[in-house]
Amino acid sequence: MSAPPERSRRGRALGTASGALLAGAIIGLTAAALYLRTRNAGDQLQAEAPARAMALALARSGAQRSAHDTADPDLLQRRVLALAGRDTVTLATVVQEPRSTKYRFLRKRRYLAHSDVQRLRQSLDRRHPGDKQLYDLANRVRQHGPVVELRAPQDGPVTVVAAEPVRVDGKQVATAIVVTAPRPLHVPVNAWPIGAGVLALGLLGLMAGRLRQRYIVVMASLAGLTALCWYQLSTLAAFYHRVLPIPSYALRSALQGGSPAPLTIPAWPLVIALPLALGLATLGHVGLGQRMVQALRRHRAAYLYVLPAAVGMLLLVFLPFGYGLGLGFFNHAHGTYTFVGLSNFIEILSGGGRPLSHPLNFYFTLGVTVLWTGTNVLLHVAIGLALALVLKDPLLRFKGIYRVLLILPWAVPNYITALIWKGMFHHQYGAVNHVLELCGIENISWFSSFSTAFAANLVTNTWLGFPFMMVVCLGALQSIPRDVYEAADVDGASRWQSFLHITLPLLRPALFPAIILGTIWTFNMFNIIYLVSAGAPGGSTDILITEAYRWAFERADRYGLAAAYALIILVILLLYTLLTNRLTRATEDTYS
Amino acid sequence: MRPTVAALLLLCSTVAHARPLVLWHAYRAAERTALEHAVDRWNQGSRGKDPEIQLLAVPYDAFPDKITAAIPRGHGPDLFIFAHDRVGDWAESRIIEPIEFWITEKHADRFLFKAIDALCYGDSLYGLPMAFKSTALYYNKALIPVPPTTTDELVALGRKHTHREQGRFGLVYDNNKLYFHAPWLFGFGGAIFDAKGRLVVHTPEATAALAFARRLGGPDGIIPPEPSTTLTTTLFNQGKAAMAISGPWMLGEIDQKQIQVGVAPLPRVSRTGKPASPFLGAEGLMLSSRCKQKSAAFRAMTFLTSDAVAIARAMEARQPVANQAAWDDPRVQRDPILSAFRRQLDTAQVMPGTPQMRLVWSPYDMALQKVMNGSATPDRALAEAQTEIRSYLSAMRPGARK
Amino acid sequence: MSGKGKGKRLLVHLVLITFTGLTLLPVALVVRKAITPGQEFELTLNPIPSSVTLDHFRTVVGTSLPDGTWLFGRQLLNSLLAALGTTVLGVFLACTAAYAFSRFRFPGRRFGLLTFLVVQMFPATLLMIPLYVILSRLGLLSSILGLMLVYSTTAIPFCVWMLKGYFDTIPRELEEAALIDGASRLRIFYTIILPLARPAIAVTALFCFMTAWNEYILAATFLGRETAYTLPVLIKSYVGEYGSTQWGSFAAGAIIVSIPVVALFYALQKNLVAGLTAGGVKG
Repeated sequence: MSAPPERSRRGRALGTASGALLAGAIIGLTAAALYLRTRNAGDQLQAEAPARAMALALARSGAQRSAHDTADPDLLQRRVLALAGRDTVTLATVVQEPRSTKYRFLRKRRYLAHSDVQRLRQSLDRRHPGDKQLYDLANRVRQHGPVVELRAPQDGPVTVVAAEPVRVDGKQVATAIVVTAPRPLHVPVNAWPIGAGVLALGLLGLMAGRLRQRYIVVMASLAGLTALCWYQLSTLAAFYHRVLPIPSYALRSALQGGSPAPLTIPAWPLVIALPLALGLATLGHVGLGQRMVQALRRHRAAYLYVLPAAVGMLLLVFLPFGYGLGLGFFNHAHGTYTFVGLSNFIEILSGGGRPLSHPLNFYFTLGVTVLWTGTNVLLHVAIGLALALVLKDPLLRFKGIYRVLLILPWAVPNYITALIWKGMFHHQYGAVNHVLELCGIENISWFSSFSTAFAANLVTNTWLGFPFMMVVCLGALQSIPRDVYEAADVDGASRWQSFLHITLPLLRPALFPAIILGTIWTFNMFNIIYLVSAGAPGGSTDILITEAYRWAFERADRYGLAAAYALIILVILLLYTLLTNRLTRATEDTYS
Repeated sequence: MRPTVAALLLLCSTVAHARPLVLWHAYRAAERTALEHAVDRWNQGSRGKDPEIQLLAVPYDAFPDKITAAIPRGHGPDLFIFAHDRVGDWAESRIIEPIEFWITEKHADRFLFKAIDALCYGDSLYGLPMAFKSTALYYNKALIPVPPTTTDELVALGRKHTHREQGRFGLVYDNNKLYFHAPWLFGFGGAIFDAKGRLVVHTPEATAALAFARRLGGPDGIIPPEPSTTLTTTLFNQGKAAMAISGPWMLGEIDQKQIQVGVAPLPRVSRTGKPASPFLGAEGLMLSSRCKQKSAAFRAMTFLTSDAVAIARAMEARQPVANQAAWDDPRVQRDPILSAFRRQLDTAQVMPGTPQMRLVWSPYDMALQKVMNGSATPDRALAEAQTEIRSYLSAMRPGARK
Repeated sequence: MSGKGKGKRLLVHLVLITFTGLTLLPVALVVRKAITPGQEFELTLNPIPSSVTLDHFRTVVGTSLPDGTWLFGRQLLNSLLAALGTTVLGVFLACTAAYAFSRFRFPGRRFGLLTFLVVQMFPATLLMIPLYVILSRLGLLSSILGLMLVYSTTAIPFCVWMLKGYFDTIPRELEEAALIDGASRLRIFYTIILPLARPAIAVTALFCFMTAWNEYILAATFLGRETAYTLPVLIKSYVGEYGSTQWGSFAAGAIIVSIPVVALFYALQKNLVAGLTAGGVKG
């Protein structure tokens, strides 16, 4: 176990600088690599551009002439064929005014120019799948303007499709469409080797901390990285476009899945490799690398034990989790995600421009959520503890039966019991009001005011949640030895005093993890609020999680805003956990 | 020979011929059986020529999210049956395929105009209608022999049958939801979007409609407090509600042995003379944009919405089908309840399937809630709803059009 | 016992019975709905049904496809497979990780524990799409194995916490003695630690089972064939548009789905009570 090598101030400065340089280099060059791969798609489009432009121009002029009905179709056709080249298919369609005044979706359509002479001036053929594609494309152009895109079905042969409107006297009379013949996708850059290379160089930087000649290693890794990316750069012609922010691009291409966007880039290799390499190299260059390697070797048994869970969690929990965190920085509309930075968070945290008392204001909802969580946890613990105290008496008969029966609220699916409770709180027909009538209290309209709706939710959730606390307390209570109580009895302590000074402190270690988990679960308790009060009245009993859900699924599919909400929930809960940890040291095991 | 795009596509479609067409639906009970029979007939008749249809029933509340998650990632169905209210969203997201290319005027004439019009968005047609749904007036024949034809009659009859202490009411419907409040809104001359597509939620007509609804549902009205669709069915079934406003789905839940149920079109609004027009929803058979056998799928769509199959569905499942020929069939005409829904269609308003419309439901429902529990006046509630919806509309990306 | 003690005990029983009765009332209402004919929602408080029928149970259990496949049986099997698979996988993954967190002091230990807590804080409704993408890339989309993996990894954080707390209460002297005798860590884990921690493992197993058994939304979205559905999807299919629900079948389904959970509770009861002493007190 050797100490890290002695470092002079100059050495440390050099180390930090080289670490920062390496980090910057990794970021920059990986960004370039990823970006350049993206640009291959653009390049594909660019390569076709001249031919496409010519073909479109021809189609345009042909359509304009046809519109004035002075075209010589054969001459036009021959020129289209000659100039469009052997590899493109050129067409122009006419989409006329609705033929039928009854149905706005029926239109006459025919070709004005077509690279296949047979089709010239013919109507589009209903049985021809290619014709339908062109017709739909013409519609899209009519509604959304010019279209240029790559069609790459599952990385198969790529066709470039371009379409633009043809105007005569300012009115659109036709659409000029060019579709190229399928050709293989030109991808000289593969992300996996680059990702592996980046990672390897990062590891190298990590190890550098051990060596005396670490500056040589730094230079070597820098040189390696440069060579790697020079290879990338040298395969391409030009480098004009602006560099996209990497995480947002990678995330966006992952999010959009199969939506028709210019080539989805499998960016996972780089998205994973980059932060890892960055972290490792920086650690290495501030001297922690050596310690980490030693720690790794010393604790390899521990890491081996954690590995299965970690791998599973990484793939199926952390990746989606990362997605969820990242999603908060995007805006979602109809399947396309756009990077909007912090605007979602600003919108939420500024209250959305609504006053503090408005139910849709974030702080109002936050207040309701905190109140909800606090009262629930309090009631759960109180009732659970009381029941546990009653049921812990070893001489009590039928303990087992009581326990099983009292656990039923937990066992029956809560989506049906929540609806039953909602029915019980009905103003006119509900069971609760009937009971109150018998007691002489007049009917309460449970869901028309905040306090009563909140109370209804509270009762329902307490009913659902106390079994868990009861069982936790039972277990904890049963492990407190009787002789402690007997000793207190002998000393003359009252039952309340022995409860306060013996039971409670001894219960704390068992209770606190359960309370923390219970708090987290209650904070995010969606089902009850949504099913019982449904936010009534006017959305005031909604908690943060139901607000987020409504934004995502009921108000314009704003997944980005909902994800931002979720991220804020996470931060709040995290702060709460850290705070209580500090206060109670509950996560520290008691046997170290 | 240089391969053209068309040739390649043709090649793809023949190669993919053997795979069955997957059709997702959210039907239960009798409707599901009727659909299965129709699919059986297709499968028998299509041996060798067309691919078979494979059905999958998906629970209703998971359906739209499942479609939106599955289709863009290539795991979705080829066809699916769902209400038309998301057509705009799905069209904008390029999840469903426009099919008007294959439609002739004669083909379109087969369907009731409103039903097929509901499936249009942006001048393209996105599906063929299987059935239509709207609310209508259910009445208990034992309590009300003749249904009301104007709202004044409705209120009078309702008052006659309302005994609050006994828990009996004249009318029951979920008055916290815009979907059920719409008849009054349109009956009083109100609207949600005007002809130019501007938001007109806060207008005097809409306020009048809301005030009328408040009179019906207020503390001395004819509707029980906190109504819901569940309560509607329960009270009507137990005979505690003389009338109800609900749609064809309630039919399967009524115990016909206990209650003599009748259905009539909603009455005319006395003040304006206009009929109370409910929202019309069309259940459409839509084509996924990722389908690999689009022409075969379209043939299947044509078959499932053909007249013969429609009549079978109407007879077996009492589905208000969207084919004209079905309504000319005497067997279907003999069913009084189906005929009532057919008559209601004439005055029903097609629910807009645009993305903008989807933003309206939540704030409007909240306005209704506030008015019904007395915490806001109709005017204030609608003004707040208008502001809220405006803010959602402006947050929407400008690329989405009507 | 003295008369006063007996009276006190009687009082305790009375209070318990009242409380249990009140607690069970909603459950009793569900049971009543499941055995009453008719599909509408009943409003009265009386838990005794006016007429009894087993039709709803028959409908639910008899669910089948037109070609005769017994759908309910297949879906029950799927649910069982998913739940048991989740339990086995989740317990295994959580046990090993919790043991490491409990026994070893390694860098990143506290961070790891905190991370396990933090991932539970993120609401799962928004994670559906990325899980969908990941599962489809792995080719596990419409399979029980895919669901199993998702369920077990989402249950792990809670299980690790609970197990770690329990492992903490097992005195190290036992292990140290065995180590001195020359046993490997792995052997100690299997022969000493696991048997002693059986109660906590029972708890973990129960939670994993419940998570997988009752989960609805992921199952409904990921599974692509009716024969692959799990029971919660079947039950939720009785809820239709505009809230119109076939209450009788819905309630019967809910009861059927609750029975295995209650049975499991009853069987594990003794273990359950002793097992939740997370970081608890030594006797």
